[in-house]
Amino acid sequence: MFEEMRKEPFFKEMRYSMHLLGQSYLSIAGLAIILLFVFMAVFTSFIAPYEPNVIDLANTLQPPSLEHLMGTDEYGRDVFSRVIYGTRYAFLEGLLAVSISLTVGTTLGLLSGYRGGMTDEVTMRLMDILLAFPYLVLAICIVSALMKPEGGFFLDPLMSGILAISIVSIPSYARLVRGTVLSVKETEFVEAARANGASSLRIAFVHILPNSLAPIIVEATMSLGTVVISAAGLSFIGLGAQPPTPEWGALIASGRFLLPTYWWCATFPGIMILLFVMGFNLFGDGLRDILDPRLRR
Amino acid sequence: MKLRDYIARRLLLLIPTIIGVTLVTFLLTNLMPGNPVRLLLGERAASPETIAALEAQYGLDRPLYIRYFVYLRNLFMGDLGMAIHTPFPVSTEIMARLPATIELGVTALVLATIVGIAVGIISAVRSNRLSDHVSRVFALTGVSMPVFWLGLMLLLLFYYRLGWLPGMGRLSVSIGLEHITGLHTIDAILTGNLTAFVDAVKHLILPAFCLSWLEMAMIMRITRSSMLEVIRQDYIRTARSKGLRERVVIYRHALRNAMIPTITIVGLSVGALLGGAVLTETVFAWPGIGSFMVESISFKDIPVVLGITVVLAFANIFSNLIVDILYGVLDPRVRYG
Repeated sequence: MFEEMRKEPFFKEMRYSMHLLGQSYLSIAGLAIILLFVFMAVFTSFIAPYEPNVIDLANTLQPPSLEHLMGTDEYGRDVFSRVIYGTRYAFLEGLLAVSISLTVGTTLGLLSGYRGGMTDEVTMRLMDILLAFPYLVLAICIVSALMKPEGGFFLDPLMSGILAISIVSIPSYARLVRGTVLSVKETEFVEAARANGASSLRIAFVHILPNSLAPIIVEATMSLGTVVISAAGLSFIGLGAQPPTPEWGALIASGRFLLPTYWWCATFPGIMILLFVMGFNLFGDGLRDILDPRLRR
Repeated sequence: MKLRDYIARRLLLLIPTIIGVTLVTFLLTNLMPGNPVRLLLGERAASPETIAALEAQYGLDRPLYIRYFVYLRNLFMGDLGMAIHTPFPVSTEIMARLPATIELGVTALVLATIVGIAVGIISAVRSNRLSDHVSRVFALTGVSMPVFWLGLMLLLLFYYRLGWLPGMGRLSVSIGLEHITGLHTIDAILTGNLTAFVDAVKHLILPAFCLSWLEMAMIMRITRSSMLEVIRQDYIRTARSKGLRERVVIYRHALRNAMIPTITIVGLSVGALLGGAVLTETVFAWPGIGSFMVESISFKDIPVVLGITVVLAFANIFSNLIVDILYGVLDPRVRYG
């Protein structure tokens, strides 16, 4: 049976894709970086030598040494441990924001492209409106509208930030999916499904959606990085994760005022963001080359 | 479609977008859990009478749709309401800081476009050689790096450690400059003040470079890939086989077609640039509307935050309009879409 399966076009395609992936050193490097971060997020407590929030006033602002690989901050907390714990927040922000915007955006795009007419018109105008705002500015605006006038937030600040970023990322998915739906909608296999009496819902999700998966996967991979940069940007100006949360943007924000003497507090979290985002960018680039047959040469 | 009709169509399409944008900011002010009067009062305690009086004063007792029209009318008359943490109207505060943001943003955009296109072309023409690899690494770090962290690292190196460039503000305190346009470099040229000009340019270098890196990277990537695509086409081979010099082939024949995707990216990146300006200004204490927005957030001054949002959204819409028109000029096929 296994032999039979190996001849299926799907598996042939998969094997070919794997082969292509293996040929591209940069995407392999990207994948390796991603896996390293996944490892750090899973085994955080084994890798981090100290508790992230334990204050040690005898050892404040120590420069990087063997004991504290990335030094300590103004409360004597180990920067290396905090940065490792930050990996979890990066994945939380990235995965949550991407899955929210992906779900909502894909549904809107499917509906819009498949139904056409007024549905399409209204949805796309809504997306245009969201796109008219500069990405980060709209996110800032949404989070600050969630602040209580007497101080504090209506929603957990980290979640407010993730929610805001999810909302502003919806249009790119909606547009992408709508475009692919429009090109697939008129093909013969969709017509065949319709002739067989399949419902609209079934056609949209079972026949059309799988054909738009490739660009969605690429977009999601690439935007996982972008989302983490934006979330860090929000925490940097005090609108996302709040101290003492060891989120990378918040770490940079509190390390900012320790420059120039205690440079390690702001420098290392930034390097982590750079590597994290770079991993997803490299891998996403490679995925696009593989999943887009036109780019295969 | 004639170019004139195409432009008219684009302008008409702006109307629903502007209505939508203003509706979003209006709803964010008026429907958010924090009642606007409580927002105005901040942490001060108030009696129900005071609240009712304030509601009447600001027209908050009227129905929502009427309030929206009032908001729209005020907006187009340049009235964005009163700021909470300063004694001035929001529009006055924004106008005072807008030149700084324009100076920084335009410098960064010009820098990104010129360097991005130039390096993109070189990278494509010499593809897979050392210069190509260097520029690709540069582009990759550009799109992977948070702009505020880049700013801090530039400050750390060039201001704190090396001391080559000033790190904060737009002008050294000791230098006096007449205020004409509000753009310090232009004002310095107009008044023939060389010392001030040099000082203003020095202050501009780090923030402008920091803000432009991301756009530079995006422009570089797209120029490189579209150039590579164009170079492979038949008409380029024809041009070469006619015996044209490589320079002419690249700059006359290939570049024009390769520029179309680049212009789209330049237009799209203005939004990212405006968002980046908020963070960059904060890092470099650049006294523009971006750093003012962040300052207002810490004072929970929502009218200012929303006012700046509207201004930045309009700037974004306007730049997208310019790109759309340019696009129609460069590629006549677009007009028939």
